[in-house]
Amino acid sequence: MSDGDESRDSATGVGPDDSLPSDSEETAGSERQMEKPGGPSAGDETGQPTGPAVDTATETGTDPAEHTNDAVAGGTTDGGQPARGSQNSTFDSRVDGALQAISDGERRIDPGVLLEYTTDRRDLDPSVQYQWGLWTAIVAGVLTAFVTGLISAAGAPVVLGGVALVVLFGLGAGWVTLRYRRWVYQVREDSLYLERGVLVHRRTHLPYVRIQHVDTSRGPVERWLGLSTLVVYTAGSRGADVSVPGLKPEEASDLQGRVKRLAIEAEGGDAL
Amino acid sequence: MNGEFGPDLMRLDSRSVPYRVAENGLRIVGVIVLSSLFGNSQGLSGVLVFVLLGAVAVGAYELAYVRRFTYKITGDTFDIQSGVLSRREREIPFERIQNVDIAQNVVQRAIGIAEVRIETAGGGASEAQLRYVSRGEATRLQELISDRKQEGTERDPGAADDILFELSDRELGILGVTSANFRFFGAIVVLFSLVGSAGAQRTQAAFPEPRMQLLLLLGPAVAVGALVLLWVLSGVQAVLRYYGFRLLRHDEELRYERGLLQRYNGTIPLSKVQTLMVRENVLARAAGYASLAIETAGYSPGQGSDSVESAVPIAARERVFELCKTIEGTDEFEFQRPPKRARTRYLARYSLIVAGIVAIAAGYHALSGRLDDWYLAAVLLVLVPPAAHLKWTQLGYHYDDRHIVTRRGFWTRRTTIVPYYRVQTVSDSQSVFQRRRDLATLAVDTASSGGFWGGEAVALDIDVEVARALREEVHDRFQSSITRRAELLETPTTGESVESPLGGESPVTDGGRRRNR
Repeated sequence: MSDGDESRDSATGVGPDDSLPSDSEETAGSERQMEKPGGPSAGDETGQPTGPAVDTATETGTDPAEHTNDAVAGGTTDGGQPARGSQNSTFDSRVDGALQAISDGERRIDPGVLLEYTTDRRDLDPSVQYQWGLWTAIVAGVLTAFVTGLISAAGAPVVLGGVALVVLFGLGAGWVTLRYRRWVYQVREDSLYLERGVLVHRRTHLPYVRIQHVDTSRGPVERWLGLSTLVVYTAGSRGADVSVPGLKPEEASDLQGRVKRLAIEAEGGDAL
Repeated sequence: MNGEFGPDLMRLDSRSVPYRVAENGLRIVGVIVLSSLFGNSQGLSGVLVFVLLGAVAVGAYELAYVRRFTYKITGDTFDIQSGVLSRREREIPFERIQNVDIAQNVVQRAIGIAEVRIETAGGGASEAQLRYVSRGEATRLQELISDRKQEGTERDPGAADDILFELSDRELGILGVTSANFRFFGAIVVLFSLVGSAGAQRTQAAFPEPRMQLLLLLGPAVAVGALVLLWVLSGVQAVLRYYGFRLLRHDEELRYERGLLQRYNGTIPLSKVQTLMVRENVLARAAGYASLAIETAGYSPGQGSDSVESAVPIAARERVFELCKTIEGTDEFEFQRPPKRARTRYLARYSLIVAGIVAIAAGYHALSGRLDDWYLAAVLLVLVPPAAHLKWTQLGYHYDDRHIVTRRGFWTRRTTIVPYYRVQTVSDSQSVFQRRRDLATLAVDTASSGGFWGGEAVALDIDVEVARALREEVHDRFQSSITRRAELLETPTTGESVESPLGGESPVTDGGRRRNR
């Protein structure tokens, strides 16, 4: 951890030194940077965290025109490290960086749009726990019945079924709570950012440029609970649709509007 | 420009009527004959009447199908009108076309007809299937579509196609030998050597008579024989499929042709390339050979593997990476391996698998009373450390200023090369077991449709901090590459005067990327 931070800091420090106007100097710089410290040494654990940082510097060296943008991007990369405290300030620094880049003429998104449409890290609506809890309870109930059946068939005391009931429902409740606590979404300047998962923690960037279309959907249970789900589609090969559950309907359509607008503003996408 | 290709209505080749009748008729007649044979209730004349009626119906349908299938080429779309009872009109914009493939089997070659398939991204099947047109017309269509896709560039009409790769006889032989599925193969060999030796031991105790021992050993012997047969068959199939393989560069397209009995001929526009995947199975790797798949978003996942394998079937490894360089402008890869502690994961995983096998053997012994030496299965534990190490040695990732490259797999090592501007989503994930070891997995998704393993570059079990840093890094690089592409697209780029910042020294890719839309 400390290793990585150090090297990233040093990388941002390298940035300005590298910003020599001469083309030949730039090329030489980039070539020098391409040789990664530690070389190809297999499994060199201390050498690895330096990788990304060094390469930020490499990119800085590749194209003079990109320099300012990349220096800013490098800074925001540090700030963008999620789940490491002071989220709001790092988020602000990302927005500031992006605004800076816009004023430098590097980005085309209207700064007003950016400020208006991005959000902080947000949790889901707590009542989504009832939605998940309902399904978990059904599964736990079926499993309990099955286990109790097995127990009675084996001739063991049926009271053990009660134990199974407590254990299964306890596990289910824990899972639902953890799942709710883990879920975070954020409308960032250039991507929709998601954190989720109980057993497998997953953090995803979904760039606006890649969004194909955005749906909101409401199943019967969701309608009953007053919830809605946002589904974002990309052209990706796996996990091409990403859904954000547990939103109030107005929240969902607000989020849909934000994402839609940012997706329209984002330029340079592939038409496949 | 429009006058040159007037919007004439074109039709399928009339020779496709008898072929289609034969193709579908044979199937139907076969069903009728079979059912009547087994039904056995009607006389021969009844069967004949049925066959005749069926043949007439099929003939009429096929004739109508071919007569009512028309296509035309307009300024920027390829239009198809088809259908006998329900009509369908379809317009495919040229710039959305991913691949144009021509397939010809032996009979079709004898008649002189060919099937043309046009792929776009999305959808569950080929967007257009012309069954069938004449061979000349197929080539004409392929040329025309590739010309239309590149509208606006001055094309040198005299420019010859560059041959990027041609499969030699030697390489074809190597392909035949190395084309077995080694994951499957290895598992079966291990299983049988185990069962075989355990069986032999048991037999010696139970049946002192040597002839009985021989009988019991026959099972494994037959299995090995079947494996060899499987190997030979898959080799022959691979040789037939890739006979005469050639990869050409035709302007902003790659073209390939292959096949001995079934000739296959396809196009891959360079501007549509999503990912490159280098595959080396154990044997090929030992011999220093590899295969290369050039993946687009064109083929849908369910489509036969026949069409997805649209690249170099086998070549010396250096040659393959040289081709990657030509196509995508990759540099040398210096793979970073996951930390050594990742191996303990595989150690634990494989030990659990062995424990499971032992438990099954023990259970079998307890229930049936046979398999006295069930605990011998624990000998498999010896294999666990080398297996874990071997898995680890093949893992790796690499990134430079244009690509992220990941590598994994022991039986078949797959190296996935993803240019940043093709990224769809980036995510990292950490399972419970990874969290205990501070490891994480980075997954970079693309829109490519290259089969089960395709599309996603996965860096398995790297340090969690590295994974997070890489996630941000890949995302940032993706964003800046997109911005650069947008700039390139805004500046009118006619001619080759503007040097592409994306593909500085890769002449092949320059133009294609600019005209991506």
